[in-house]
Amino acid sequence: MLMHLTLSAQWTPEEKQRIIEERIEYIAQDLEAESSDFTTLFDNLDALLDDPIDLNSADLDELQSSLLFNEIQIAGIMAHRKKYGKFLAIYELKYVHGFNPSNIQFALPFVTVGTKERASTFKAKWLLKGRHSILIRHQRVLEESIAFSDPDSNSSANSRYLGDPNRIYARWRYQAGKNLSLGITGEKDPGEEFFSGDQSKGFDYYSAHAAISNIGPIKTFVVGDYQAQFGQGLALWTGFGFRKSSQQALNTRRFARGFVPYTSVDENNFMRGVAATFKIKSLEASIFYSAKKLDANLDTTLSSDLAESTFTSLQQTGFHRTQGEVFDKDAVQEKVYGANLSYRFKNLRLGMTGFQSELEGDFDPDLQLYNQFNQQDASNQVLSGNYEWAASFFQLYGEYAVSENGASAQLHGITLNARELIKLNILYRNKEAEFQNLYANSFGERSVSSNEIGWYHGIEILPFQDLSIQAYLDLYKFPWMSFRTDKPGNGQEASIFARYRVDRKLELSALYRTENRDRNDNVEELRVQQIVREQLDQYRLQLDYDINSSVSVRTRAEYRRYTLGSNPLEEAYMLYQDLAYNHRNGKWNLRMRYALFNTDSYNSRIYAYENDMRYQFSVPAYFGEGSRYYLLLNFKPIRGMTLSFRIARTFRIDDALIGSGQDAIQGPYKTEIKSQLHYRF
Amino acid sequence: MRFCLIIISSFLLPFIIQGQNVLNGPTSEGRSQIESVNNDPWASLNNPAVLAQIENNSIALAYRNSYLFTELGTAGASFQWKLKKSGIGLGYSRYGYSLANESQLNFSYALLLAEGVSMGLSFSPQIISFQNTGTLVYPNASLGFYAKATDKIDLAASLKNPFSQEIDALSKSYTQSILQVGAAYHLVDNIDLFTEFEKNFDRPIRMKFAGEYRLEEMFAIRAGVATMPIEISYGVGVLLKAIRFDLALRQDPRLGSSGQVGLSFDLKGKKSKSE
Repeated sequence: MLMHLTLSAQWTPEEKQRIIEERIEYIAQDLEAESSDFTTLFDNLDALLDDPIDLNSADLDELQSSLLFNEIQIAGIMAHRKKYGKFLAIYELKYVHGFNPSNIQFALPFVTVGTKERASTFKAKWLLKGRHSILIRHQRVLEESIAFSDPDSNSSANSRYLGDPNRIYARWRYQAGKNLSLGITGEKDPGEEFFSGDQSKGFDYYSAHAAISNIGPIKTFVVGDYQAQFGQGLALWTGFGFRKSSQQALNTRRFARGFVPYTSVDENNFMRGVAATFKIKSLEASIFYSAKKLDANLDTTLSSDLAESTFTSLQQTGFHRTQGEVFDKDAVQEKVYGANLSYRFKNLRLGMTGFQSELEGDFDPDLQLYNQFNQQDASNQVLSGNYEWAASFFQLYGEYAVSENGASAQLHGITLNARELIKLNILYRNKEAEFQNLYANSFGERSVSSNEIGWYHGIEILPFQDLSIQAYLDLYKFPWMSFRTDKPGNGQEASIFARYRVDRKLELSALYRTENRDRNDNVEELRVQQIVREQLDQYRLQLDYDINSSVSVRTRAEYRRYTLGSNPLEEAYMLYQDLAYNHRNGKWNLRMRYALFNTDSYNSRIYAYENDMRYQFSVPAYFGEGSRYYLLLNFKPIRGMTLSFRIARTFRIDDALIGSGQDAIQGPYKTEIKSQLHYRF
Repeated sequence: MRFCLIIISSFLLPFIIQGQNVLNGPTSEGRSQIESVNNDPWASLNNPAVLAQIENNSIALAYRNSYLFTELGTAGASFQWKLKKSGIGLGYSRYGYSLANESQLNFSYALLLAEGVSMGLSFSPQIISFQNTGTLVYPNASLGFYAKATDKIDLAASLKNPFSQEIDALSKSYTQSILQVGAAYHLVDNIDLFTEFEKNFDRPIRMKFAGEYRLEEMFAIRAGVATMPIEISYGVGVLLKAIRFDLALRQDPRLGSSGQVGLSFDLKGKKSKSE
């Protein structure tokens, strides 16, 4: 929805909550992945609302790690301070290079203008002035899936889940400003046991951390679960990383945050152990050690002794619902340890990262021709160097990494702010097929950081104050085969997004995106597939209207076309209407949607972000023929407490089963309910 | 003759299931069947939210003939009454003939939420009757939203039958849900432009565009085009004191012409704009 805000810095707690949700929605709108996790980003924004960034005292690191500003804006803030001194009011951002009314409005809730110098001496009593946060959530699909139904004589042991259909999540966190963070998280997925069977300790997944920050030379010290982010993600990056986005065509550069306490429920994408970053003047030194167990497919064809130490692949789902999944749980010990050195000199920053990873046991992957260069050894080393150089009108950044086998991956980018009207971004990436690194997460077409060469061009144009146009063109190729492409291939992706603000309350936007790439023809009887062209075109129109301070609506119409070679055209249509209502007393609000869709196949599916509870992020895929609606109610019975209820129902008229595999449900309805208690004190 | 009637009945059934045969009024018909954003005497059948913002109370009658088949004719009536900060409406529409027909009743209520913004709700039971099969009654509802977003732009949305009901388990037939979102742009005092996007379960998004020109507020000319399938519509309206006469013609490239004629009476004798 539009943010119904003026250039005023006074917001109620309810408005602040809405601001975070809108910010996340803005980022997530273009995502096409059902299981995106923004927990860390949510925590970051939440902390900023409680403790906004002081534009007068924040250093470069703080501005970058906030994830609120791009590099042009950050350079603009630093240059403004240098030239004119301290900011007297937030409104001065209008005169800072890189800012326009739209992005000022986004940043406003998270910044402030302070007049006092920052206290440089840490005081222990600050640690006692923090806030507790308790969150408990329950979630369930009402209809029974195959995996929970009574087994018949033909069903295998692995076709039924051992536990019940409930998903339960519980979390406690204590934060004292920017200095102390403590947290414990537990989660049970549907189908997993709970205080029974193999889960006698309760939840299937536990996570905990204790972290201190900004105390003397200690920038960060974490014990427990944490994320590690350095450089541009070619060497070491766990957690969320921005990818291509139609609405953020210039956001290709990653802002590494070093070590961050881990608070999410992804059961793989984190480190577990101890990590520390020390900062002395312009030098930062980071060291870390991680030891945790991973789920792995053990090779059961071998004898029992060998089977316990030989694994063919690592499991990433985190599910332990069936006997087979429970057997694979925590099957392999992983150890990762390394360091990072970073030096800043004026506008230049240089860094080096190196680490060693070891998996205990014999790694015997079942490699195909397309993934023959994947890591086959149980151990690996990666070394990388990264740089950033920011000036007023341009920024350079990049990273070069080498894995133990000698293969390399590199990434170099430049952002130009020619005038306020035009901003350009060019990024070159070259990741060799042989580059091996399980902990990389860098910008690119593929989720893995190897076998890709590409040129990305992004542009933002502001012809008028109320009209913004963003576009990107990405040309890439894969030097070797890739999944579902049996030869080296190439592809192109382009997008243009325009947003027009009719007035303070009404906004129109339009999107066109096209992608074509090489793909196997998928003819079943052929052993060697012919390569054909896969084409996807996306058209979207959207209207956002703030009726008043309580009610806002959104309408979206989307059309997609998909073709694979000479196969028939597959089309998809979706129309949805959103309504958001915030009661004037701030005690409750309502979000709802009704959508109608029909798609010819799963290939032409349409993704659409949905409002969900705090720390829950829904980007479901709409496919088939039918309708979907949801209702989300948030209610604040007492100060600091929020109760949330959500019901979502999908109705499909085209299929007897909704879903696939063990999670398939006899149609035509699939109903999901959620409830959550969140208490801050 | 009986064989022809059976064939026609079979032809009728998909239209019934599609839910496209409720009378929408000649104004809408002349505007390529744009329904959600029309402020006219047929609001109770098209978008109940408009009832809270009608300018005049009215009663209306209309008849539509589809593709020159009398068996595919639709007749209807509508009554609407504006209250202080709300509005009520009654509507009736009947499609088909004695052997196979579908009727819908509408009981509508709308509430003004803020200046120029209203929401409405209709309870609209649907009665489907086949002489040799019997009569089925489906409880339906619809929700509507209507807002004068700016001085020149009106926005509207209408959701009909959001909770589909099964008609026939064997053929997996369900009553249709229809979502319509529309906008009107008041170009100048006597020229308006309209657009609407419509979606149901199994048809692509239907886009409709129309314009209306009024001469001295007594005479109106309408024209529009819609996609999926492409149809062209024309309409004229004449206002004489409190009586309005509207005529519309819609052209389908495969099935031919459909015409609709309607009369409406502004109650309390007040003059109203030709819309």
